[in-house]
Amino acid sequence: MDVALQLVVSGLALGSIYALLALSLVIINKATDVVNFSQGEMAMLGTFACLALLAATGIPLVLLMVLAFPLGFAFGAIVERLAIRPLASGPPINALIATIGLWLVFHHLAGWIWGYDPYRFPSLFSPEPVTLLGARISQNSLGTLGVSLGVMAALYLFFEHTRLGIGMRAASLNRRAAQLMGVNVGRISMTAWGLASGIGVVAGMLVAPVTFLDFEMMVIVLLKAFAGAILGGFNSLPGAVIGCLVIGVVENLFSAYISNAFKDAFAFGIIVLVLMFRPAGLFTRITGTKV
Amino acid sequence: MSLLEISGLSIAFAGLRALEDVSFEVRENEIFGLIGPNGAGKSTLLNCVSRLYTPTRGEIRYRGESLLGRQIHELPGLGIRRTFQNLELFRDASVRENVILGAAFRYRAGAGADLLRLPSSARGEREAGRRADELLATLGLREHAATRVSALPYGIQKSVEMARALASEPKLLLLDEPAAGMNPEESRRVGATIRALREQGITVVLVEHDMRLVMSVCERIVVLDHGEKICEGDPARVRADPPVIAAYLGEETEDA
Amino acid sequence: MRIGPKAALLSAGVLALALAPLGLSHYGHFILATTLVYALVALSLNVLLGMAGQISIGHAGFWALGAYGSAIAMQTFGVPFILAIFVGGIVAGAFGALVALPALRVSGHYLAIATLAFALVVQQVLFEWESVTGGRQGLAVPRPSLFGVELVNDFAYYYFLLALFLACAWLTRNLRFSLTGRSLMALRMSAVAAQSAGISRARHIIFAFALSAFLAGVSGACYGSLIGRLSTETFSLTASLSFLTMAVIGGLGSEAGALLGGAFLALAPEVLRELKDAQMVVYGLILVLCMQFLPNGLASLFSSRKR
Repeated sequence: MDVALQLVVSGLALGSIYALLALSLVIINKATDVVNFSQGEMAMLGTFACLALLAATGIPLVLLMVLAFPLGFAFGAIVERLAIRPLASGPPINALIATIGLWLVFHHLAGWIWGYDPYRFPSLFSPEPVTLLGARISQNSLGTLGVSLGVMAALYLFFEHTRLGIGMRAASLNRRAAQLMGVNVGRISMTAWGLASGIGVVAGMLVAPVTFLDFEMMVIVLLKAFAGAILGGFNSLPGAVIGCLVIGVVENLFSAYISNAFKDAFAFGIIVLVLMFRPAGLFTRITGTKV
Repeated sequence: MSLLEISGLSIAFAGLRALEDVSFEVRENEIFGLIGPNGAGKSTLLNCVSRLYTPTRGEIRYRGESLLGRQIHELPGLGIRRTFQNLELFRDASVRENVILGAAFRYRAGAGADLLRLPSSARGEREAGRRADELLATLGLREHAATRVSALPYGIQKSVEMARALASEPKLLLLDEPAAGMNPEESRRVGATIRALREQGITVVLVEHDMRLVMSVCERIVVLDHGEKICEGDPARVRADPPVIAAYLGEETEDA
Repeated sequence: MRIGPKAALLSAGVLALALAPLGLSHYGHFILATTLVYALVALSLNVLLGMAGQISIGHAGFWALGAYGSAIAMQTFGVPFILAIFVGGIVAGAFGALVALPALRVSGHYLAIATLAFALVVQQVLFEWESVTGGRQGLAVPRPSLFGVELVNDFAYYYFLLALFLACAWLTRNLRFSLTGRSLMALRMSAVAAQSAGISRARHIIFAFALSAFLAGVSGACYGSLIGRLSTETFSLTASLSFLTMAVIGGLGSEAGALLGGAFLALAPEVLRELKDAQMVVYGLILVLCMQFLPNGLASLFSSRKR
């Protein structure tokens, strides 16, 4: 019983990492109806850049954490402007393929520049574990969980209650109509990509201390984030978070009780099953397209 | 003889009731009108019949058989075709290709024959092409046959959509605002086309906003408002019906 | 007999392909053979992405199923070479039909993820199933032999592959101009309109996936016999993405485009050898830039097709 509880709690911690990336995916999708396949790689690249910055300047870690978001934001905005905006009016599959291309570019760029061996990344938190709900959890994990929930709450408020956020949702539903209503869809896309990328780099900086920083760091994380977002219904922020937490817990339990080798395959099996039977996720109902 | 029977049809979207307990019959070979102010549920009803939507309650029967168990693509085989309010043409294809695709399901020889280019495959293509050419001639589209539809004016596009729907020789034709965006002369021509279709034995259900067209061409009309049926009868009856007038007057005041 | 310009061009092309290996080194023959193997994969993506508009970033999964299916058929069951290739294709095709099922309910990024998940599962299962596939050790594949005669070198194998590619290209070309193929493309242009016109989405998508997977499986089978040894590492996400890149840059709308794509993938590692690690970066840039400046691939530069 104790072991199970421990698995659940550490599963939540695992899931909260997926959740941060899933939030990034959902932001861009909510605002632009595009899914950024390279979200994880952008996060990884940004984290590498931060490490390089740290090594070059020796600035305090806290300051680096603060800078991570705006740096990530700028990165995302530039990528959107150069690689994605020109494709906005074409068939959506073109943008999708472009993000797949970006995945390749960023993934192998990191390997090319920094090599393939893992790097140590310093953690903001002390290594002393704390007790949560009767189980031990590292402070880093607790911090990640907290950041995930915090970001989710902030984004929820942003999309529901701010002018910019609502404009973003409108733009994703009908770009042309939003344009005609004076909404600057270009700026909205850029902002969405910037936000997503900023959050991604922060996520990367929370993950790296645990998994070590290398070019493969975010590959599986992205897929699990996808799984969680799909489970929760791709356009729902809280859904994505809940979905990812579920994935984290289930993955942990599966790995411990059934098979560690197949735990990834299991997570992907879930994706396929959900897509087959409830593609709108567990929490939303599909509405058809209006003709 | 009722061709299409709608009973107790209801559908809701995310809590919003788009259709509420709608019932009526369409008789064979009649021109039937479905009208109502904006948002009344006309297109929604058409979408239910053509199986784009699944109603929450109620029944749709075609020649006595329920359509609710059928999928979208099975309807043309039963003789039911439709056009779309906002046009759903194959934009990158030519006019002729659009019409051929409207008949493809009927004339195609099957994937195997097509892969191996068997004689049945070529034969199917020829026959589909022949049917398309017939319709292009009838609807005056021959000069545009090879042109990409996206390059053509709206009125011609509407004709192409009609031709495509007629490609499989349907028995029941559902038209969703065929006169939308047209001037009076073009509307009149649409009316003439519809009457010609009836002469060929086709039953037409017309969803329309253009009152002149509806009143001149429809034999019976059902009026919807806020998802409910508020009147049913011939044009004279509908025109004089107080609830109908109120519904449209209400629409006018909203617009004002 | 008058020969039209298209027929002349086609004949010239086939002749060029037939003469290509002459005068080249052994390594040149290998590159040519590899080109055709990849061109078959490009053909498979032409069907799925080009015609049906369905994305797959997991085609390495079908490639693997074909490769291992064929190899095991030959090694364990003594199936003759040509039949074994067919077996590989069928195995892959069957899985293609299965993968089509989630594809019916979702599209775009969801589908991409599903195909990715599929390929990863295949790779992982093949890796763990050591008794059958050799796991970490890999699997030896016998040299191809036709009717008892072994194709000792890649020169001979090339001509077999050429015949196979031309046959498959003939099939896909027939499909492209047929009512089935055009119905498939109609579904891509407007699924609502196509279905309302009597075209069954389920049937066509399943067919597209099955055929695409079959072609990829055939390619995988040929690949195994070309290399002589299979290792699950080959069938990775990188491979799937390379396939996508090659198909896009070659051009998804023609058989010639598939050939160009195949040549690209066979030659790129040579040309980009200097950049080694950056090779995949270049592939990625190609995808991004292609989408902006050359969405119909290199083949579109040579044709002015209008349907």
